[in-house]
Amino acid sequence: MTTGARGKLENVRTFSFIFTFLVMYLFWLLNSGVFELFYLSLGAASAFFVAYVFHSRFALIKDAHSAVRAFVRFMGYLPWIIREIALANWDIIKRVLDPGMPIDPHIISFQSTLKSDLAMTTLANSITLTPGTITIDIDPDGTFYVHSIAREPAESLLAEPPCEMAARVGYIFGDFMNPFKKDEYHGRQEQEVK
Amino acid sequence: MIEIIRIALVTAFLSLGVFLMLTAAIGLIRFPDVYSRMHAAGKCDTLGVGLTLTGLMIFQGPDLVSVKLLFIIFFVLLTGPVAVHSLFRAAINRGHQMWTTEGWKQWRKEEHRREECE
Repeated sequence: MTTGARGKLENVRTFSFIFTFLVMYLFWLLNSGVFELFYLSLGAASAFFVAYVFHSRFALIKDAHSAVRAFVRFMGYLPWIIREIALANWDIIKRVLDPGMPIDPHIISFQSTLKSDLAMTTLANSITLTPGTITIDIDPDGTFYVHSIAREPAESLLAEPPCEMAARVGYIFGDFMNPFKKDEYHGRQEQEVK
Repeated sequence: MIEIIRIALVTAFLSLGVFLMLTAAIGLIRFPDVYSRMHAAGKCDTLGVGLTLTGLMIFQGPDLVSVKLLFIIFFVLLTGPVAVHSLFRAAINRGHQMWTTEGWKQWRKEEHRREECE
């Protein structure tokens, strides 16, 4: 490993540690609501301990720049997904309360063209959160298997890949997570293939 | 005046949330198999809890209790899909039969024939 790469790794570790510490301390402050010196220092101590032990697991995006970018883009994604959930919920309500109960369960599969674990997890959660569709399984190459209550809720997913939801999720994470993680991920995958 | 609008907003959010929960319960009873029941129970519940707690947040006003309610909404939204997903996987691994429209139609036809024979 060259010195440049090691320096970058150090930066990454510092970022994930500081980020975890700040989030944990904020969580402590908002939950305790007592701003006396004793409790503040107690919170700092426990936040430091948690951050020291778990920062590599907690900070999912370990590069400060892409973390900020992902956060901003995720904020833009929220209104769209909430609107989508509300519309789909209305559809499910109609199906439940309709006397004829027009349901027609299917299992569909589609290619999402996503690469990173985080992007696929976000997409799977978004699909499950949208009423009418539940993610069953994901292949490592990005193929999603989805159970849908009828044909209509799944139609938008079956559009030309990547479908709108996958494209939006891919945009949040810049399609790949970050240089370190991406190499590690692909390396592991190739080993398994051999 | 502002108070009236606030209370009206709270009432709207609460009744919408409760209505969604009721729909989820009705769907749980009406739907034919494990998989489609999960559609009703898993998702309408998540949004129902979210709306109800949003109503409570508006009622509470901006303070620490509202922040805690926001935390609850966040964690429910995060864990709800995962719980539904794992339940779904468990049902599949146990080999539950999936209800399909074709199967239902065929069953109805056979039943009809059986009745005619008798």
